[in-house]
Amino acid sequence: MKRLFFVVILAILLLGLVQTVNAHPHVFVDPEITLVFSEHGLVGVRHQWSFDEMFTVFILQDYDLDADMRLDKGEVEALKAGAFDNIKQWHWFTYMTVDGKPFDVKAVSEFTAWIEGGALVYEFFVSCRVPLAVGLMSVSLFDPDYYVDFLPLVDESVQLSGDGTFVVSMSIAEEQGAISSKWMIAPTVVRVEFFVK
Amino acid sequence: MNSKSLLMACLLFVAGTAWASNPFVAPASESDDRVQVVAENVEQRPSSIGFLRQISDRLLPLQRELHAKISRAIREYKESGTDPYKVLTLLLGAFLYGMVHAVGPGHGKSVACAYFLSRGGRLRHGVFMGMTTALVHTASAVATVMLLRLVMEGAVGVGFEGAVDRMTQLSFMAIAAIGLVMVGLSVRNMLRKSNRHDVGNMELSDKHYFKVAVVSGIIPCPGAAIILFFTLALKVPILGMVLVAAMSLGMGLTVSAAGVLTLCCRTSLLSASSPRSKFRRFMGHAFSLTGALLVTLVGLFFSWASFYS
Repeated sequence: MKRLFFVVILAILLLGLVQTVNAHPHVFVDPEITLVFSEHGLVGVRHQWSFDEMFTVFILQDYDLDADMRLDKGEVEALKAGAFDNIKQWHWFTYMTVDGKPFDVKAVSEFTAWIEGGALVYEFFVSCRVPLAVGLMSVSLFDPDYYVDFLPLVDESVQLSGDGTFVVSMSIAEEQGAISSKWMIAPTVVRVEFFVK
Repeated sequence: MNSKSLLMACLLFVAGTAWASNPFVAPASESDDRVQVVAENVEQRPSSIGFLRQISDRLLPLQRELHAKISRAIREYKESGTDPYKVLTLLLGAFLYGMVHAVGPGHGKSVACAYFLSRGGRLRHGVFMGMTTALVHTASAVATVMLLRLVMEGAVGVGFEGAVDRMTQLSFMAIAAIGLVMVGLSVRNMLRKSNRHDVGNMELSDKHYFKVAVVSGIIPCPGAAIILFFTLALKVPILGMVLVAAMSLGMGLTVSAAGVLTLCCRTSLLSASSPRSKFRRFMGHAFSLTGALLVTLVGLFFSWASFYS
């Protein structure tokens, strides 16, 4: 009976292991975000994503048509239409809350792209107004299908910019349950609180 | 308790299987919402998952690191020429990358495990099916990439994703068909009154395992394709092919391990009772039907998912 019990546990482990260990990404992104403030509070979040070299080549073969390793205006427009706008379905992998409530990212602006050190870089802006009276928001980057692996945000990859004189308190930590995902990955969540001293 | 445990494992098995295409270039969905933002900290991770999470936490950075090192080494090879030691290191890196890459969610392991749960086999069949699935998976990617390069001008990446989508649909429909045939065979065996037929091991020929491996592996591997696109762009296609082969062996080892482990569990469970006992017959039929239903469910669910996507 002990043997049977052991084998059943092994079977559960096997089947569970096959499904729940998450290690199947094909695109690797080093993200940086900038929290942009005005005198009235937070205006939005600027993203800068650096892609791995292989994905860079994969994309450039279709969009750097003159193969000069530079993206001109026309190429950026084509790139946006062919390899950026599509991730609207995934809300640009950006998950935010304002005052503890989910904030749906429905549009982004100011998209541009370039090549730096052999890596394709995307930059875009997510508008998300958080007035001073509220002063509480969070942001995280994550692909629930895990096709894209975002390097967890750390202190060095989160910047502050803009106007206003606030005290900004920030914490960066892995949080389970912050995002509805079919996999058991705890994304890194940047929590921001700001107020006038 | 055993039946409940097995059922739980099966549900985990089906619910957890993943299928995803490149979100950047995949054809747009009709649906606007692919993700859902929920309130924070609504649930805590079950404590039993902690161990798996620890494995995951170690494998993810390793995969990222291997991926980056392989890119750099390919570029060095292109710029500095052949150094046998470096080439060997690169091959080992691709092999390890394949091993780690295949640990993630994938239908190949799901189908292999469910098939072996249902039909049994020798350990060599586990290795054979795992290796064949991985080889077909990467060979399909190589063939698709080469064909696209021949017939298309520009937008090869988009073309690849389109080809993956079509072949995914075909593969899952075929898996569902195989599953339905397996369900039929399982039910027929259950209805047989004779107890001479030992359901413990059906001793199928290699052809059966090969067919399932081909159907399951035919979807082009995006990981292999991206390495190939990279080496083609750097004009080192032979190196690309060799690296994809090494990656394929690594992936095959992981898929084989899943299959072999399933076979070990199945054999151990069945051998716990005498070959003619009622319990053994019951467990044999239960495995046979459960595995067959899992293959069918994986096929049907992902056929639906691939059309929906």
